[in-house]
Amino acid sequence: MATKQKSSTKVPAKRAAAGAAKASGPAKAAASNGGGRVRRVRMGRLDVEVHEPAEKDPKKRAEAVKRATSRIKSTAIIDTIHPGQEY
Amino acid sequence: MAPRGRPPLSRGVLAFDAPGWEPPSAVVLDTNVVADALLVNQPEHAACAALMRALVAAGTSITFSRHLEIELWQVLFNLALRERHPRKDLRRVRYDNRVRPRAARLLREAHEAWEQELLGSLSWTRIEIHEIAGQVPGLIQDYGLESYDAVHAATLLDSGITDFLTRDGGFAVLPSTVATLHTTRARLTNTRARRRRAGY
Repeated sequence: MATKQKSSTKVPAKRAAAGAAKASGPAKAAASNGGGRVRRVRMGRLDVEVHEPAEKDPKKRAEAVKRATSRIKSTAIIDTIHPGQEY
Repeated sequence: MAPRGRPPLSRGVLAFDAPGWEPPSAVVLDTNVVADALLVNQPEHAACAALMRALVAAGTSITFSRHLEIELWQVLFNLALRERHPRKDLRRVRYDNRVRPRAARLLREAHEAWEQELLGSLSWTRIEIHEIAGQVPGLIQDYGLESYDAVHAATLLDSGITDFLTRDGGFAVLPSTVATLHTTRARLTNTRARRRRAGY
């Protein structure tokens, strides 16, 4: 994958939260990413924003994934491959 | 017992829950992998949850279509319907208002799990549907993909990424030169067979 960095910004989480409403451009993007860095890059034919992880600590990242993958319990099992075809 | 004969051709289809599998540096995600990672009781939950942990640990950059999130909300609403109506055809109970509070709770939980916990831990890129929509008619025509599968395929092709995490063997119709499929061990043989039948 060939990517070319065009611009980047890093906004501290606290400032991002405080300034989210008045921010614009890359700063606004970073604010919406919980203070994580947002880079504008060329990816294939697309011009996209790459959001870096808002959480920097690898241990806390692992804990967050564990929480995310263990919170939704249900008695039912459904088709997740073709969700629209249940109808 | 030692395996007999030559090992099967990979045909660009790998198992992400196989021993020794290593996450690529950049991947495109399909909805069903995320849904099974988030829903604890799904049959392939363990493999998909382990996959998410591996992606985070390896620092893999994930790319996905906005359509993934739309399908994910659909999955959760279907789950609420299925809980209340375990044996009924969902088409006939879709407008049952008693389902709505449970569906709202499931959607809220999934929203937090996906947006805050998973995306907060990964490097990610979201591709809007309008950015890749121009490719969709060609993919439907060339490979017979369904509209929603064509959106994921267009995301893969336009991003220039070749590694696709999916449990859907239907993507085997894409050439192995543009799509290396990563699925579960249970689906490996069938997906490779579909790719062979597609002529790759």
